[in-house]
Amino acid sequence: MKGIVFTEFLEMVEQRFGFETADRIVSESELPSGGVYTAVGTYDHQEMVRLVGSLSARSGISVADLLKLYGEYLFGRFTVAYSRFFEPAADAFSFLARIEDYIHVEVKKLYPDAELPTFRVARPAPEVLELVYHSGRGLADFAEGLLKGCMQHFGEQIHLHREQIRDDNTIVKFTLTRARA
Amino acid sequence: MDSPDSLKRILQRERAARKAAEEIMEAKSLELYQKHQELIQLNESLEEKICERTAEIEAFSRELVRAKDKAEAADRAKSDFLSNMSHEIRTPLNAIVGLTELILRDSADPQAREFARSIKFSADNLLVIINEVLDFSKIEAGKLTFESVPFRLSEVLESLMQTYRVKAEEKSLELRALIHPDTPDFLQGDPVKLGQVLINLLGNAIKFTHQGFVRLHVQARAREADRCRLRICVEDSGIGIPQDRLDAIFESFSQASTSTARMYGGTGLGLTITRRIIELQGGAMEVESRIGEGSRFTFELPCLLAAPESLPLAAPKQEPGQLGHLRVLLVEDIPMNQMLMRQVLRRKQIQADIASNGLEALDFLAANDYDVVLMDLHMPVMDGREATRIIRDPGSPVRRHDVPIIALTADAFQDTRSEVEALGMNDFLTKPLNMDELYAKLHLLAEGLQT
Repeated sequence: MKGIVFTEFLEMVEQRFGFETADRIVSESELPSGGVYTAVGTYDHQEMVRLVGSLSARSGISVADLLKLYGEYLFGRFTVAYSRFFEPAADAFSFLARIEDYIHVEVKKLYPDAELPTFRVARPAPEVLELVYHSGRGLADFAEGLLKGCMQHFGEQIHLHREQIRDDNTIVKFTLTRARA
Repeated sequence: MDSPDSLKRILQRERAARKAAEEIMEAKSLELYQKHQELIQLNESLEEKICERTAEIEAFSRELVRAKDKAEAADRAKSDFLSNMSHEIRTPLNAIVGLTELILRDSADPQAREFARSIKFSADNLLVIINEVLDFSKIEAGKLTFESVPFRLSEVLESLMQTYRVKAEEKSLELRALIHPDTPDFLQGDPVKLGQVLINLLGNAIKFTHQGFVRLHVQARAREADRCRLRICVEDSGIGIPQDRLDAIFESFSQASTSTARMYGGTGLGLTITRRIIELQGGAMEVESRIGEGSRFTFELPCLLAAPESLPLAAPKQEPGQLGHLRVLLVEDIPMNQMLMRQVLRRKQIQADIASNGLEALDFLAANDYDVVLMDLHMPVMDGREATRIIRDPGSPVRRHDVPIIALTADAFQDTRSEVEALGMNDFLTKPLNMDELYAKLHLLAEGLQT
């Protein structure tokens, strides 16, 4: 997993839960990396699972909710750090429709070894966008958080419906319905 | 409140992270450097490959040019061969035609005359085929040239109609020339080539029509003060040409179908030559045809108009009478042609001296006086051109430097007249020899001697 996911996670923990909590969950999780993360490095995905697990135990918030929270937070960070990706997109639907052929392509240029989920996009009606998340990591909650962050960024009235295709969160269908203007 | 220990540990981790990041960046930058070097090498090797390939392509294209030159040389050799062969074949054929003509004119034996007629017919046919091959090789070699002389269209058409009237009657075909009254009669151009085109088209039309008609339509278009476009159409009610073969019939060695050659004969060159002759004069030709209904060949030829007074007077009718007093020297290398000419001259009581080449001719001319020299152009030892040059040279030991010389030539090129004049000759006759033409020229000479 790319280092930026860890550095941003720890920054969020520092901001929302304090430096001490951040330090504790790193110390408790007994991480092979020792919790030394850099955005340009790559680390074991299991370390994230442990960190989120520790935070959940410490804060009493479920892992699923923490992943959603983090997703939403991270999207906000992306809009600042990678603002150039957001200019051409006029709204949430057109941005999300291009995840595979634009965003992921750009990500691969910077991080050739990044392991990315796939999103199958369908547009059954002008006001409806269907996104099928597919990843062995089973981080559909994280994806849901990112989607919420996206909706928030574009400031649109969108209803998000989630449908489990697989219970282990490896395949999940999100249906976004835009409120008619 | 966060504990100082926590902050300290976080700071340590941050520092470690920064160093780790720096190491990663250094490794990345090294990797990039190596990749860059590889790219440079790849680029160089690609350039080398391009150079190699370019050299290969250049070598190949040089080879292609060589092959093309070779093919063109072979093609030229073929054309030359065709031209030479045609020449070689024409020479004995001229003798056959000439001698047969003598039999036709002079023999009292009806059967001999009948046989002679058949020989003449076959020999004429053979001559047409050989002339087509010769014309074709000239066209291929870009050597076909055109005369620009005044002529009467009506005379060309009349002699053509006369030629084909007998054939048409034999097949019970209606043969008619429909000449628009506004068609100009006095034209400037190449009447021989026009006749050749019409001979081909009319010959084909009669050949491929078994009942009905063959019609020649003539009219002038775009007529101006000094020019017009002559539009001539040869229409028949013959067997027709399949639509998908209409283009092919103009191709060399090609006929409407392979069975055409079996049934009707022919070289498959006639229409190619015909069309090229028209195109080379700035004209165009088209064909329409329907199987079983007939064909229509139409062509337009740009023509200059001639003033009637520019036309030479028709050759005077041959004076009856003998020419026995004329002293003639014949210079001709081929024994068969010597024999033929001797017979032709003997009919007018002329006893000619005969030289086999230019050098022998000079001996005769140094020893005797002659009224005229009939000089073949192509001969071994010394050809007619060189002999003429020496005769006209005041320093040569010839008795009469101004003796009239008539060239005998098998090449009826357009520039033949200007060439013989440039050589200092007075006139020329083409082979196969037209006896009446020779007699007319000799009569003119004889008249000149009397006055």
